Amino acid sequence: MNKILISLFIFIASVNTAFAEIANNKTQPSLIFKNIVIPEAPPVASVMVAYLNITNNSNTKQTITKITSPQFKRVEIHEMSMSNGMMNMKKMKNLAIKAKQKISLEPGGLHVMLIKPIKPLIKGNTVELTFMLSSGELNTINTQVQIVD
Amino acid sequence: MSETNQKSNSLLIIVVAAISIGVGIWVSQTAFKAPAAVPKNLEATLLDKSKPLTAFNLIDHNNDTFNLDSLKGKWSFLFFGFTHCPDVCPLALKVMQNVWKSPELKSLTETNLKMIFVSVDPDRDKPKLLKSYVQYYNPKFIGVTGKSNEIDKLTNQIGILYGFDEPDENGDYNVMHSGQIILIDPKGNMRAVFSPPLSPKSITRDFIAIQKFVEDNS
Repeated sequence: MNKILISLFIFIASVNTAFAEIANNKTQPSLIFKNIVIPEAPPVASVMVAYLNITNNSNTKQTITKITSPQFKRVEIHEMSMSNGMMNMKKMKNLAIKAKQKISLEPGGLHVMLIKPIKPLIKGNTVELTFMLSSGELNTINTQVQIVD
Repeated sequence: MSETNQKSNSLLIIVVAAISIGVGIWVSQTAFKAPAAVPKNLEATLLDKSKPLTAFNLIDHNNDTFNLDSLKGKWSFLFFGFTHCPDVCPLALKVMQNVWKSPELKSLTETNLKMIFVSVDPDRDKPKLLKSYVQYYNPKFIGVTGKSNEIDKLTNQIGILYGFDEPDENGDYNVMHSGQIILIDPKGNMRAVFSPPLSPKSITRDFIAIQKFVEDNS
């Protein structure tokens, strides 16, 4: 009987913890997204780009495994680098950010590549980006296309 | 010898002397003038010796011929890339747009300047697409492409590199390419290279100095 009670207690406790974690995730996302910039591109452009800063606010490493957007067919993370005197672009399978670390996705380095807009986007149009983490956590951000000089 | 003859001889000597002095001054100021100094503190790489370009045969965004003659008569800025480029090409075109808009170049842009975007990806960048793409940045900008072997005739002599990655599972592919802007003078000579990070302010400043240097020495 005691064993049953103890098991039940442990079960309830773990369910509570799980709920607490979900609630906690809702209020405090692991990643903070700032300074998001999506420059307007020629309406015929098949790709656009997003630059931003991402801070891992959690105490564990977080890995972005996928990004989606209803405004684009595909979204990928790319890294620009110099190779043999040429600007080269490498698609990254995922992007890991250490605990409490901040990374910058900026021109000439990492960037979010927005591939094949469903329709041409101009200044003021909203782009929604959802970042999926390896933990299953989802972070959705909205930003507007802007003219960048 | 009559007095009249003596007077006219004196006048002749004065006239000849005056002409000689005038010619001397003119010769010393033009034919034997010291070459203008090479501009200092350039961020651009100015070629020690201008490099005359040789023939190539491409098309512009209106499907018209674009060859060596198309580069003559005006200063030209050339950038090589592709329209499916997410980052480098839009940034370079934005820089070219800002150079074009510089107040210091206002009189030049109307008469003596060309901004040219050469696509090294002719399979995807057809003239119509190129036209919409470059003219988004400025209606005066010129898109150029053509057959690969003709593109290579231009890139090889300028020193621009490019290469194609394998297509991904969606059939999309990336094009690796140099990130420099090339400056060609109105005689079709390569004169300078602007390397990343590209800044409209320094490109404008350097261009004005290089243009003055070239014109003073020609």
